[in-house]
Amino acid sequence: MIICSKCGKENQDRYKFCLGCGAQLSSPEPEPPAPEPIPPRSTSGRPSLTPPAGMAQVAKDDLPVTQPEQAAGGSKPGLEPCKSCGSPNPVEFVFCGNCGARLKEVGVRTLGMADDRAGAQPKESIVGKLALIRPDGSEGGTHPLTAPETVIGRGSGPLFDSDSYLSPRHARFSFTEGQLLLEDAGSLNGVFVRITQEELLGHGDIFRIGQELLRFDVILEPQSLDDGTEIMGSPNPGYWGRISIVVGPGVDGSAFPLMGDEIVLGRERGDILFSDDGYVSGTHAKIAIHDDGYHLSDLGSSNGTFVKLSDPRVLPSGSFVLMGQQLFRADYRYR
Amino acid sequence: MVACPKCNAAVPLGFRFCGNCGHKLEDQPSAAPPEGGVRTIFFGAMQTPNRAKLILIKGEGLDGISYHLNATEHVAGREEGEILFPEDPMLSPRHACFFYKNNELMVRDEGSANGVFVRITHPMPLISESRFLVGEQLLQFEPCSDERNKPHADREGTYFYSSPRRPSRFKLVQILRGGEIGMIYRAPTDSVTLGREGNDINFPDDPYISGHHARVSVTPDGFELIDLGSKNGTFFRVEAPHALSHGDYLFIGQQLLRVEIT
Repeated sequence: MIICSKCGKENQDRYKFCLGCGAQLSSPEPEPPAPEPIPPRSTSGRPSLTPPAGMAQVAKDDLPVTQPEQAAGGSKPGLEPCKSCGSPNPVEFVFCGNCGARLKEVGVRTLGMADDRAGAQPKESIVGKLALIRPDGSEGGTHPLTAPETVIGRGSGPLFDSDSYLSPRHARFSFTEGQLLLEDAGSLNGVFVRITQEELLGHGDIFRIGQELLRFDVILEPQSLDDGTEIMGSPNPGYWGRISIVVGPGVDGSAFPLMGDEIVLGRERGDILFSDDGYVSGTHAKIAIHDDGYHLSDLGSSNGTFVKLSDPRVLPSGSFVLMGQQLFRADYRYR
Repeated sequence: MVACPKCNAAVPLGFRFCGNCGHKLEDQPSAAPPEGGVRTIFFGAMQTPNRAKLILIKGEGLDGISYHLNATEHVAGREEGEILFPEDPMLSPRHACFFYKNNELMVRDEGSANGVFVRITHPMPLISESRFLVGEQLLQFEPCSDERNKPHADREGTYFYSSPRRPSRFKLVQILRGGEIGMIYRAPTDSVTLGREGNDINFPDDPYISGHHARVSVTPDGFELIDLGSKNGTFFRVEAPHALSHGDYLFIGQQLLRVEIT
């Protein structure tokens, strides 16, 4: 039992946020790490690719996935699911006991108090963590991000040690001027960040939806050879780009030319379909051509659209990061 | 002689209507390519006692014009040789050579950018990077059987993450004008049909492709390409010197030629 230091409410040991006021709770004893089990290796010695951790199989009708999580205070009647993570919470709770999301609006006075409290906090140092996100959306252990620089890779700790898709030095997290900066530390498979707004795509950019590793290429205007010969080929009806499914290092599977103002990618509806990938939503993402370039956006998919980092990127707290086979959330705040 | 733009029959100069199909010859732009199938009828006067000749079926200039192959070697190209098409940018300056070997007419690619394509008359074995034409579509064949279940770990023991592998024996790559890749079709089955509609791969906007045009399939020995009785034929790029027979059709650049051996 954890007594909230802010409001005095009693909370179960595994809760990270107070059910009464949403304040972050400190565990009475160190939380045992719960690494995501890596899928067993297949008989050929190659690690199985499915299912990717942190991704929920999308239900056929695209309804929100129901959580098998044990109900918080499960014996009480009148449970309501959290809109953010789906965990059931007693109706009188203001914050979700599982993920800390706000369940209902509270009075102006409480908000004002919270603001005052935040404003009074001296912004001296930053505490951060990388939380492993399980396929059901719950957290499966954390890794601290408190040093000015943290390099994550296979061997960095129990969360990462058994992931054969992580390079020994995979990603670098660093704090600069109060911001969290993420960059690829020369990994084989790259570091992917879930997009929250339209993302500019360049030639050769790689992104992921569901289990699909996709590359975007620009199709250029034909050019003559030096001797004036034009390269023969199929007429181009207006293709301006191409999406290729990456099936190995330097090996493409199917590829789809892009035409028109926008192209929708999905499992059931759209221009490019991945009907056998259960981790792709019915309509998942969109690529549009605008005057200033090519834009990738997520269409409210369940599992998100992830872009591979080619340059260091500033991450807001709460960003989702895909490294190796696993999904993480990077959280940080001022202390 | 001029060629009728509608049916390709040779018409003596001064005639206002084609003797074969009745098409009015005046005010007809000669550049209009014949739609659909092409048919060639030759007047007796055009027959010569030469060993072989090439008849221009579709291309720049007058359709039906013939090139007599009386020497031992005949070079075709945009700038060089006896068979010249200066306005065809798809031809290399020196493109192909027609020559006789053991009394047989042969064609050889002279290192051209776009190659020499011969209409197939029987199943054609396909190997990696074989190229062929169906309608206006240029496709490249690539086997991919050995990609399956191959683990990819780098020197540090990290496995390469890739999309789920859908089993496939081969793929067909659409090459666009200019050389860019358009579509890549990874065959989910051992046989793939191509055509305008109702096939595994359809090109509904290609006016030169037949409903069911060609098929690529796995054979006990490898892979083969066959024509499904298409109107305009399936053309295979020949890499090595290739023997030509009477009635063969071949594409160099945008020029469609028919082989006549007397």
